[in-house]
Amino acid sequence: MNQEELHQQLLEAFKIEAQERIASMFASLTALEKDTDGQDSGTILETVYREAHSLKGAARSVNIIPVETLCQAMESLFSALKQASVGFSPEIFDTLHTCVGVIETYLSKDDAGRAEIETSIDALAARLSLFREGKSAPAPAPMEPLPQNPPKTQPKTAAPPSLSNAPETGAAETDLTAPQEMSQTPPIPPPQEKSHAGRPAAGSVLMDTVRISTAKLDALLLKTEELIILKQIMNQHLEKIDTIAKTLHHWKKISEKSKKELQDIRDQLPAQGNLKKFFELYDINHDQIRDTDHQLREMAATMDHSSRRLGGMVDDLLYEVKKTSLLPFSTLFSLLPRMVREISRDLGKKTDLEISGGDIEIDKRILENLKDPLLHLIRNSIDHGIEPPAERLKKEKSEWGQILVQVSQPESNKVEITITDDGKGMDLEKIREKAVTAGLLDQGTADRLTADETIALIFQSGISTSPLITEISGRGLGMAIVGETIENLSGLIRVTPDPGGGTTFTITLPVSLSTFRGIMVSASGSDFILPVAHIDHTLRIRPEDIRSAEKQSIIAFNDRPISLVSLSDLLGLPHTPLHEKNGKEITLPVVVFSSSEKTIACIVDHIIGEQEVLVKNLGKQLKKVPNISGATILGNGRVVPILNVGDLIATAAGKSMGRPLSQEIEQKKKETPKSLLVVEDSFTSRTLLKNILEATGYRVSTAIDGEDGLQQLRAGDFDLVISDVEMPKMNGFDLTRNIRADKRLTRTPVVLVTSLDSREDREQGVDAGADAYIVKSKFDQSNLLEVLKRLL
Amino acid sequence: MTRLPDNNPATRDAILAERAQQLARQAADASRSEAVLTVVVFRMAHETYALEMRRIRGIHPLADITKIPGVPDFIRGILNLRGEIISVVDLKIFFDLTDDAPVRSPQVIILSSDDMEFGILADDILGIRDIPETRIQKSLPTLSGVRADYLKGITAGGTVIIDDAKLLSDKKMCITL
Repeated sequence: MNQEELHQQLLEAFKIEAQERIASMFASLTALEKDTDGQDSGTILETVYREAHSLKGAARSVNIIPVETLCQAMESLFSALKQASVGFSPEIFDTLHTCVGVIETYLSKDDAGRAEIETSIDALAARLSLFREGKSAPAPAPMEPLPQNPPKTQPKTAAPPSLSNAPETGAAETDLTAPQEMSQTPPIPPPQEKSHAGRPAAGSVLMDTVRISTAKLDALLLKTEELIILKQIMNQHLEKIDTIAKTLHHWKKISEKSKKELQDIRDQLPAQGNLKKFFELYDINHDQIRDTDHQLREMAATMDHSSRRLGGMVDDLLYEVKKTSLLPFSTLFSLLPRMVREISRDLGKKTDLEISGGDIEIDKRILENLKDPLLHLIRNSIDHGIEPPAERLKKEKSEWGQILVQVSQPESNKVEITITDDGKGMDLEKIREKAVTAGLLDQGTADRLTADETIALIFQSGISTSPLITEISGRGLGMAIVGETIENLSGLIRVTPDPGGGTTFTITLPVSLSTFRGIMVSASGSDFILPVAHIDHTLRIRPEDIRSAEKQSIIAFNDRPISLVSLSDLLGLPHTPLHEKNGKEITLPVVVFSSSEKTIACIVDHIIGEQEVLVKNLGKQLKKVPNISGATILGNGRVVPILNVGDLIATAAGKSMGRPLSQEIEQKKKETPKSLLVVEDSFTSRTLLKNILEATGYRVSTAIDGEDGLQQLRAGDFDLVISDVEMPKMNGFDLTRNIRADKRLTRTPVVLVTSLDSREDREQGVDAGADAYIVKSKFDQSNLLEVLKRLL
Repeated sequence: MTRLPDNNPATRDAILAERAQQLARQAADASRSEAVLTVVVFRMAHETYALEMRRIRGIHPLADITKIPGVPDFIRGILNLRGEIISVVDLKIFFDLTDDAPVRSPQVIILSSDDMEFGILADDILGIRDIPETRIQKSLPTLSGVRADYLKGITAGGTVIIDDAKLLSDKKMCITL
């Protein structure tokens, strides 16, 4: 930042500060004038004195000398008033008001405009000092321009010579003693500013708080939040490096193994020219692999360490920056008392409002968004909840209805707001009735609703139990909007009827916005994020867990039936066939989520994982998109939409899981993929086989040798075993024999895949009980797959 | 200016011819110092279109686009523009132009006003030109259909100038459920 920019910034800051101080001075002056009995004049005078002093200092720091001069003169006069060496008079008030007004005007002008005012400022300063000397003010001072004021405290041209050297030496003095000495016009700024009341003191106050525009703070927060993306990228890189390191490590092992074998050959063969070179080359290769393996592992470890540190630092930084944008609830609550009074008056009710927890802080952006829902809830409480005084008296309640707004912080990153009224409570019957009238459900369904389900209805648009459509409530839209706003803030809202009448709304919100934990899922080939806050559970269900009831699919969750839908259906995405969807697994991934007391289970293609998510809006064009509340940008720059759980549940209410899915699940039950065990000691062959088989649609598990294989077979449930012959610990023949000897496994088909192509081996395989014997040289996919098909 | 495709002589010749014509025209225009419209010329469905520079915030090659379910077809999806999310409009669909030809290097032209912003999908960017206003024919008897409503005019060379202001302020472009 260069000097010019710095100066500009200082000027901006000064303008804001000056505005406030001017406003405060006006207010204080007015109060002083009204304060006829002089009771509070001391405190008010002190305030306005300090304001003048601070504005003087601020003006000096940005080199606006006329303002500094005038403030200086005002400050001196206030000081004299404080000392009561000068008494108040209407003229003094008039002049002081004019002074503050002139400062305000001066600051609002450009350079040319300011130059015009400067003379009158000097005149005003001169008048002030006359007052200070106890002289009655003369008519407005002569308009002849005084010379430009040099900075600081030099006397004006008219100052007597005797004073021209005073200011610097009078450093320890304050203007308490000054007035007598400085009896001349125009004023000599008292040396006070150099004393204890001057810069050092002001400096320490300035260091405690710094005023920053919210726009700058927001920009800072955004930049910091973007570091999260960097953190994620680092993790992705690490994963890649890890994979490479593992591959290389495996390669090293192979190289080591073959080096030993090669050593035997080397010992047997005479060292001839070409062969020698070959061995040398092999050695170099081997050493290189070993070294690289070592280096890569070391680097991976270092990078892992750095990445953890970076992650920690980013988190800490973000935490600190987020803290800077927290505001106490009291800033919002200050609106409430007046609003409650006015609404109550309009409705002819008596309401007593009690607020607690206003000092708890929350993200400014959340607080801004919370305003409308909160006001709405309180309005509702007065309008629908609190009864008219007469009715309350009849019920032997106090005439005054009570609304309690309480904020608490049950967890460090969570805030809970409860709004309780002691009114008549919610009329469930009426809500059901309204829901039926609004066409949200039929009478039969309505009759069967539980209390909780009925209450949840109020968050749907079109429901209002207020018989009148009034300015305040009754349109039935409000609660729907409240629910939506809270959810968009990643919050939750609950309604609990109080047993003694009355209703409590509980809103739970995160302390800070913009990043939250999300679960990434995929549906029909696209990825989506679901906010963790709304997710009750993720699980895998088997198709046989799905029951159908009244054209709906249902699963039991925590012994409670919940309806099952598919995310693709909800989003109107083309259906991906199930076998593609689930690959090799028979279980279906399901996410259970809830909003406004409603819970649904949603089938997704995959649950990809949980991660930190930075919320972005969808741009200016997409103002409101069904089921989607925003988007996030992943570490690799890819954009992923964030799902709106409230919307999804509402959409689900309109749709139950369509027939296609149920049918497919039925079919799926029949076409269970076969489960295979691949026993192979070579990593490469094992991976290759696994990939080929999985691509064909088999479910594949792997074992690294015969012993491992046998253990897995005994523990699991496999339809077929594919095994290598030559393996450490237990070879393929022995494995086959063991399988045949095991009562439970004895009928499991075994396919031996081997490089040994000799009649003896084949016979040994058959003796052991293998069902097929495939030689690797003949081994191609179709051959193996054909064999498998035949055996399964 | 457009990169000359070296693998397609026909296109190259066409572009060169157009440039020559353009140069000749510009020289003539300069002498008369007429009011000109500075536009970005792009190709879409084998036709040449232009958008005024004034409301263009940038042009970017189309990279990863994320489809959004539940929006009209002409919204092709959203993309990440330096940390900001921008939706992309396919005018081919919006204008009902049928064209299945695969596009080799699609570009996105970002159009922006105070309260609206989106990208427009272009098959290729042909360059920036100054078109004298006198050369823009207002009435377009030959053009019909949806797009006729969003046109500012057409040049003698057949370049269709889209009314960017109208597009940006059009209610259909603002998705609110």
